Amino acid sequence: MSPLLSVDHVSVRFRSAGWWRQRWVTVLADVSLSVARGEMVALIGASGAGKSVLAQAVLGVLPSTAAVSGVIQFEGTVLTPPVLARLRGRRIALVPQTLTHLDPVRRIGPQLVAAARRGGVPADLRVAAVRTELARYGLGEAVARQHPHTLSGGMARRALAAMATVGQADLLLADEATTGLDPEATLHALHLLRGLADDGRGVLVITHDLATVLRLADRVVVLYAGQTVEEVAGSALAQGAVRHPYSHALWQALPSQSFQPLAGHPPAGDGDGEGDGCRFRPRCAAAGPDCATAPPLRRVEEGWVRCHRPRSW
Amino acid sequence: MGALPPAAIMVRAEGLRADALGFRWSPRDPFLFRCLSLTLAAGEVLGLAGPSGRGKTTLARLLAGDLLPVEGRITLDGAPLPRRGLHPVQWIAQTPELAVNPRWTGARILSEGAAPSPVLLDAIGIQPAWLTRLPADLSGGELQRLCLARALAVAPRVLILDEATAMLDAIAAAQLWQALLTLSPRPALLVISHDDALLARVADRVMRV
Repeated sequence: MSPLLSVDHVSVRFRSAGWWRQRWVTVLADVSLSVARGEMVALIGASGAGKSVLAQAVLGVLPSTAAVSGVIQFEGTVLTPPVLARLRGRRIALVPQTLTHLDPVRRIGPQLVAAARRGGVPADLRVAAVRTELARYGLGEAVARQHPHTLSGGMARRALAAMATVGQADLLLADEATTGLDPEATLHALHLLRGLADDGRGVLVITHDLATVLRLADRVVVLYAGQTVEEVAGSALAQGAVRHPYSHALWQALPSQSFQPLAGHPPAGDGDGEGDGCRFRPRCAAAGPDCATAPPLRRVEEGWVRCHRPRSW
Repeated sequence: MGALPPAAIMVRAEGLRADALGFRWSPRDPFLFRCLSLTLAAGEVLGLAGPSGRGKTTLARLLAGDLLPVEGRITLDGAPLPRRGLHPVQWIAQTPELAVNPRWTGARILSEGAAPSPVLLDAIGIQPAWLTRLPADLSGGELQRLCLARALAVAPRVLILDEATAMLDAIAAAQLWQALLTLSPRPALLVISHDDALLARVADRVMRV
C-alpha cells in the first residue's frame, strides 16, 4: 500500500527578481520523507531551512517564481495543480504558522463553519461539529462569537487548529502550530494531533520545538540547509541518540540540555560560498577531507543519515 | 555623586516600576488583571510565566506604552513614561509578521528607529542576504531577529521579550540568548515565556501570573 504522503527527492528553487541577471535561490535541495496513515511525523530544522516551503510545495501554494523538481504523491497519485485543487482543504488540511490566516473581520464561528463545509461535514452537522471542535481545544462557546483580534495569541492559534481539524481531512500539515502556547496547551494540541493519527489519519508536524514533539512523534526528519540530513525514531532523538552531528547540536542547545549554541549560521541558500561538499561541513567539529564530497542519504539500522562520519554512541 | 541628595540616588536605581496596574478593554468588560505590581532594576532579567489568556502580552503592551493602564501607574526611574519619541521600553511581540511593514525590505525595517551597528547585527546573527528581502520572503525566525535588532538599535532601557525565541530552533535560540545576555550595555529584560527550562537558564527571578 502506498503511503498517504510521499515526498521523493524534492527540490524547490526561487527565481529572484532582477531584470539584468536572473538568480536562482535554492531553498530545498533534496528532501525525502513519507507519512503513512496512523503515523505522526515531525519535520524539524533551523528557521530558513525550508520547512514551510515544503508544506507549501505539498499544498501547491508556492508563488509563481518557484520551480519544483522531484515527485510528491498523495495515496500514490502525483500531486498536480488540478488534483490539488480537489484535495486542498478537503483531504489535505493545513494548520498554518501565522495568525494572519484568520479573517480579521469575521467572527470565529462562521469561519469554522465554512472550514467544516469545505472539509466535507454535512450541512446539518456543521454547527455541532464546530461546537465539539472548540470544546476539544478548550475554547468556550463564547469564542465563536468573538473576532480574532479579541483573542489572545494562544487562543487564536487553537482556533486555527480547530479550523483544520473540524473537517475530515486524511492528511494534516501542522506548520509551527504550537508556537506561543503554554506547555499544557502545547501538549494538549499535540495529543489531539496524535489522537487524529491514531484514528488512521496522517499527521506531519513542522516544528523546531524538539522538547515537546519528540515524545509523541513516531519518526523525526531533520532538515539542514534544504536537505534531509537524518531520519530517526522520535524516542531516539529525545535521548540524544542521533547519528548526524547537526541533530546532536540541536539537541545539545536545548535549555534542558547544555544550552550551548553551535557557532555559525546555516548557509543563506543563494549559492555563495557553498562548495560541492557536505553543507554542514563549515560548522562541523567532526569534518575531515572526505567531507569535501557530498554525502548521500544512507540507510542505517534505525533510519536514514546524510553523513560521511556519523556519530556512534 | 556626593552633591546629590540620597533620595535622588535611590530614585535613579529604581528602574522600571509598575504600581497596582489594572486593565480592561472597556468599562463593560471584566478586568483582565488588577493590583499587579512589579519592579525591574537596571540590568535585571525578570521572567514572567503563566497560562495563556492571563494578560501577559497586555501587560507587555502597557509597559511599552502601546496601551494605557486603566488603573495604577508606570514609572521609569521615578518619572512617568514619555508619550512621544522613541520609547525607552521596547517590546518584541510573539508575532513578528504583524510588527513589520510587509512592503519594506529588511534594511528599511532595521533602520526604522535608529541605524543598528554592524557589531549588533553580527551578534544577533543577521545575514546580509536578508536585508534585500521583503518580509514575505523571510522565515518567522529571521523576521524576529530583524525586529530584535531594530529594538536594540534605539538603545532601550528595558526590552520586553514576549515569547521572542519561541519561533527559533534550539541552536538559534541559544545563540540569541547568549548574544543578548552578554550585550554591553544591556537593557533590563522582561522575559515572557512558557518554557520553564528557558526561564531557569536566563532569568534572575521569575514572577507567575
